[in-house]
Amino acid sequence: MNDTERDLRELFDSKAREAGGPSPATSEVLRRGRRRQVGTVAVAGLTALAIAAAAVVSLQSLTRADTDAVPGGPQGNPGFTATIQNFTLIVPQGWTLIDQVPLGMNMAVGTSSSFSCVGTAIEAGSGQHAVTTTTQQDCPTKEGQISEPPTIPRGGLPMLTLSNEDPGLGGVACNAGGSPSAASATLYVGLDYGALSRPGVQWESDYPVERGPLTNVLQGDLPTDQMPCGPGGYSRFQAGGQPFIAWAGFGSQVTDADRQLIVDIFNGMQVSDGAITPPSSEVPGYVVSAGTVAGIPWRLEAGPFGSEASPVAVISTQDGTEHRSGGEILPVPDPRSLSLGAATFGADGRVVFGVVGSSASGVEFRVEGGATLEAPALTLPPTLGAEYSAFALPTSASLTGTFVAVGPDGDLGAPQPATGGTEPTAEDRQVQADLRNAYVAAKTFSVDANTYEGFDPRTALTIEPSLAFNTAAEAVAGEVSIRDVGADHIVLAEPTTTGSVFCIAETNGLTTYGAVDAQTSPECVGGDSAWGQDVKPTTTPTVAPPATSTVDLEGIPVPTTLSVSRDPGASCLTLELNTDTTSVGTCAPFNDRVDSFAVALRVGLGNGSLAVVGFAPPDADHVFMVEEDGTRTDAPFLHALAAAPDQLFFAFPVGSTSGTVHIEDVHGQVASPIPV
Amino acid sequence: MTETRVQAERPPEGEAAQPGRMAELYERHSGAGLRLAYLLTGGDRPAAEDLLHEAFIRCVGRFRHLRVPDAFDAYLRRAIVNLHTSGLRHTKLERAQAARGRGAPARVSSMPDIAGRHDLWRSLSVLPARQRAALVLRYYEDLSERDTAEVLGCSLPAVKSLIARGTEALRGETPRGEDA
Repeated sequence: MNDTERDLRELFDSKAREAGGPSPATSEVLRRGRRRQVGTVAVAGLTALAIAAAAVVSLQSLTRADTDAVPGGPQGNPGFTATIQNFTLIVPQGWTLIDQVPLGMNMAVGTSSSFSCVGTAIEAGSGQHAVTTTTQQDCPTKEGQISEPPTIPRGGLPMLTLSNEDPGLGGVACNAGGSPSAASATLYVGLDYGALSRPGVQWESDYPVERGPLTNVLQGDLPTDQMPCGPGGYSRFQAGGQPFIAWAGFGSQVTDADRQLIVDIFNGMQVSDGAITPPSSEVPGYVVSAGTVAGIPWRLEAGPFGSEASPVAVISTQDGTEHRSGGEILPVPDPRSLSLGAATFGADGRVVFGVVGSSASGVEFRVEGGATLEAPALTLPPTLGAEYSAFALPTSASLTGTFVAVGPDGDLGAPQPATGGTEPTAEDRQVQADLRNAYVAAKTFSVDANTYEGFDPRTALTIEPSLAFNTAAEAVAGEVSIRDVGADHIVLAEPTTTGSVFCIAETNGLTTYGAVDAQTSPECVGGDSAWGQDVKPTTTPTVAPPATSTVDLEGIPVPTTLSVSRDPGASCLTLELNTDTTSVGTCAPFNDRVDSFAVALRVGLGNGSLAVVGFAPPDADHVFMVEEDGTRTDAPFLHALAAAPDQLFFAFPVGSTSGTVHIEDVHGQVASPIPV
Repeated sequence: MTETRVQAERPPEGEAAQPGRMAELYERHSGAGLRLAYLLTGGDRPAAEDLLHEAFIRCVGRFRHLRVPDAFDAYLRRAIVNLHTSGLRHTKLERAQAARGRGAPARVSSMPDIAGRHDLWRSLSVLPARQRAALVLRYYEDLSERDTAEVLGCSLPAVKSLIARGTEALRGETPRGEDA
């Protein structure tokens, strides 16, 4: 055993002990367990597609259950756990968390004539901007104020503020001269960079590596000069080799519950090492939702990011670097519609976020296949003056579907086409049909090319010769305009002769339908959800399966196909391996109660190449053969074939005819090993 | 040519509604499951509990079909690992975690802040999920490489590769790679 292995064993043992004991089984766990037992029976014969859909439905039920478990607080927003720089903390429902790192960084740089809300200088031309909009309720003075060279406040450079009230984006709660409102409870964390050079401060010893509890919570025990934020509880500690100060301040009439909650949140706050990274935003933001996707923390912030037209952004923290994802959110043209952005994390994680009209109670993501995921509408602080709500929905990037704003009574429709009619005209439907067909052509292209780049009018015409295409910036009647084509996005638009314009856009697998002459994906909004659903039906059309399905196999020494034929009158399922020169096959006994089968066949070439062929239940996750000598060979693919949709098929090369084939789902073995 | 039949039988009336037996099952196996989940999630206790709960729910759904019911802990372990390494896990569990809201604050680490150990833990947390799972199964669960391969659903060489690359990444000898 080497040092790393020994260290790992010791670390794991130590950490495992730290995990403590499990909580007792909740009624929710037991109820879902019982439901799952019954559900196991119910799903026994479903197709692979249905299995995937059921998984999504399960996700939906979980989402709903969890949402129900967290009723809205004062702002109707659920609580969450957020990470800002080195700190991960819980935000109770209805409380306000402000990411103040941009403000702190502004305080730290140069001299300027710019103005910050706390009167500290901001470097001109640095690309960083003071918080000067009217949304800053704590910014009482005017731009252009001449400021002093930067000094680090004794309360440090603000990193975050958590409060049971809205302290505003520009203010700094840590203010010895201020007076907190009567019912307020506030937790402030700042980077006390000034301590490094402050006379009389032995920061290495005064700021311990091991974070201690808040002292002086009951006020009054510390000398005034040691309470730079005013009365309250303090803790000084190191993180990432830097000194930090935390302060808990309370109004005179704060409740005991809120006071205790602040203490609990501070005690539970996770502090990581690592250097402070430059913020991705230039101004502070309200953190309205947060979580972790693919191991990467993200948070949804609302603030005056550049303009009022882009009120929200997803900020992610990856590999120690903060960056903003998702791009700009455009103005909401109608209170009933929504605008989308998306940020991708890791291989498959994704957070879809955006804004929706304030009358919406939430947003539904209607996944292809019929499942629906829900995201509640998140109320934005009134100080932002936004007449809409935000939402964030973590999903798997592999899911595709449509987003619809919903209200208490169901779908909130969308702006009617410019024709103003309550029902689409025949020409509207024709244009929508054109766009549907054009979109199918684009999808066909992207499947082969793995990108939309290159989908131009000439290419489109070869795929869909019945339509006319152009790349005009202004839509032309009778033609589909291809716009904003990229690796992961495309916009298509076409007008009617009466002036209505329809569009379809896809970004990162998200499809939106619009009634505007959209130039970019985010602009394609306002489409009647009904015509969007026409494009992506929520139910699989009932069609008779083909008699034979064929799939190209990979990993076989010669080009080989697997064909599956199902004769309704026969009692077996024909499996054939075909090469250019040979064909071998078997007719596996088949009826509704048989769900696994395997046999070894010799593939052509005449050199004894062998393959194992067979089928597995639809919930199979992987298949492998263990030969007599112990060699294990995994099937690289499981194939879903239309001719026999209730099975998954496999065919892969093996070394011998003797062994056992194992079929397993994600939990383990689902069928007895099959001798071959 | 061999066929194998797996029949999905409806549980006997009343059996599915035996919360006592299920609770007992949970009580017996959840401790080990939680510790495993805790290590896989990098010490995130709420996420570990979510992972445990989801795996438990899935396992009890299959429990009556298991060939060896006494091997429930092995099935639970496998479900925990598979859920953790699957992409779907994140959407479900992170939603659950985010929505839990006002729950108890996360537990503070009680481990002495030893720099080397802390760095190792931190390095572990950024390994690809399958590499981390392979290391946890091998060095915490103390499974053989072959058994680790069984749990991860991959070949023995793949497990050797996962472990080698994981440990190399922890030593800082090579940059982190993708999952094998």
